[in-house]
Amino acid sequence: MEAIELLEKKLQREIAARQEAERILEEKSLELYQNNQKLEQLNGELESDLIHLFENAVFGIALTSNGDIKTVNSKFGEMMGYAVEELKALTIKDLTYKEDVSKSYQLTNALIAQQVDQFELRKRYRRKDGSLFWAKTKVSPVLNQDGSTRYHLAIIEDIQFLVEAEEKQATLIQTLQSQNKELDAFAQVVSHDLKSPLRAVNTLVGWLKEDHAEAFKGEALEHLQEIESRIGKAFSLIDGILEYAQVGTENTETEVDTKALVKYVSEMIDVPQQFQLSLEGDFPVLKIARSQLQHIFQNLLTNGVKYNDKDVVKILVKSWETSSHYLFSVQDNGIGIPAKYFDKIFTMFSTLNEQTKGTGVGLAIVKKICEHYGGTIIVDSKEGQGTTFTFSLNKQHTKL
Amino acid sequence: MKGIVFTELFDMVETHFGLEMVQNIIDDAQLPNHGAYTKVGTYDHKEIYRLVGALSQRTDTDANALIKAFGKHLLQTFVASYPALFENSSDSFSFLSGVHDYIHVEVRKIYPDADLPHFATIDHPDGSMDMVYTSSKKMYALAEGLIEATMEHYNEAFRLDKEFIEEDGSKVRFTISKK
Repeated sequence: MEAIELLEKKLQREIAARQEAERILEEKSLELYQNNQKLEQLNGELESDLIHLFENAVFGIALTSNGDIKTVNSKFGEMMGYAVEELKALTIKDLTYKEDVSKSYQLTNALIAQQVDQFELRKRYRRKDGSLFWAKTKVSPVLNQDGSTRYHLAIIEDIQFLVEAEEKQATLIQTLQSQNKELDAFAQVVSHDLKSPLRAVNTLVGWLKEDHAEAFKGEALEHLQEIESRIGKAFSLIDGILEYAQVGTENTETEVDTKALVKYVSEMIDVPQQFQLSLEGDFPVLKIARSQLQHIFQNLLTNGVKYNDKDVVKILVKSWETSSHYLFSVQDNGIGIPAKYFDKIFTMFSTLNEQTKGTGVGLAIVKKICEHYGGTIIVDSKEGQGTTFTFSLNKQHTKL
Repeated sequence: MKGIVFTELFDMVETHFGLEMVQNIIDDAQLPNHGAYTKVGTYDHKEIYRLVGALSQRTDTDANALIKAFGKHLLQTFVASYPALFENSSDSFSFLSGVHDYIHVEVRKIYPDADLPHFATIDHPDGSMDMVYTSSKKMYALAEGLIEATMEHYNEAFRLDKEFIEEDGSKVRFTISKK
């Protein structure tokens, strides 16, 4: 084959190859163009989604770089009382209450030095009108692909009224605590001041009886004895008030086996010869101040025995539980209580019986203890047949 | 098969045997495009067998020896066209171990339809390395030429043993020991 012919053929091949390459490149270019179109469209959709998210966020959002504000959403503008464009000319420092600037600086520096991944702080911002508000600010870096920081993203939540509520609550607790202390001291003083003259009267009556035995006979002696008995009751009343005031101040809550406690109380109180105590149900073990629960059972069992005219005194103690409460009932076969007194018996200084076997403080204390443990107490009774007290204790307060 | 393999084959044939040989093997192989290959195109790999077969007959040389020689030529082209690929590796073994996991991955990004052979490398405690070639195209001789030229590129003395795992050459183990 001639050299010229070979070269011509090579040239033809090269031309054909070039045309083929051009065809392929055009095809690829079109493909690239179409892919680009798709990407642009996706990018546009993503951007509009992000803008929507940014603008409709319930929190303020600010993008900053070295403390300069790059962009903010309208919510942040609204929070600060500035137009968005005005904010872009400001720095975070301009918007931060001066006392909180250094705290904010330290954390931002730690973020820049990559000592922390992000931080959250409570700080005060200053609005355009100069007013301040508390906000929770969460700052995290937005990174470039090479790991350098593009800008800081701050999410700002106005917590002014949360902070105000917290302050109010703290003040309230402090007031209550000091009031409780005062009340406690008051009860101590009152009981001391009341007991002193009573004790003096008691002593004087004693002297009258001893030194003037001749003069006080018959009815006169009976009167003196009546005075002594009334003084004894007055002492019990004062102790009752003191006890009432102290419900809830005792914090030593221990594990208490309620079944064992009921048995213990029944052995401790004065019972008649013919006495039957029965227990029914699953008695729980509770976390509670033992003396307080003991007080409840002691009071209810004593009442059941004391206000009882039957030959055989019967008391049935039941225990059960609901999803939220432990419940106990103490049922007696005593004289009963008229329905119109069902509420009155739980108030201070109320005794229904004029011959008064009690001080009228006991059930008020029982009620207060139940309420302290998130429960309550109710009564049901039929005159001549007996009375049932049912009380509850909230599991949240008493569960082990 | 990528067009560069065909254009480079023609370059090599032209250099060693002259332009007339190129025209002859194109005529012998009865190619659909009459030998008008472009680097950016993709072609049926059977056409390379036909061209090599024709060259083998015309030069009375073993086809596999020709393919191996072509592998060496191809590697030199790669060194000239893509020096960065070689500069990233300090020695032959680190380059060869990266062929499948690094270079082929990059190739696929540009040519998603590229049908590449599979290379598995195994380092042995004695310092030698196995490179197992797997491809339905059975062009292990090309791999052999590429490996040898790589060792030469890094100026390393070596011994290359090959073992057919599949008799038809679709799976071949190369054991490379540095001297």
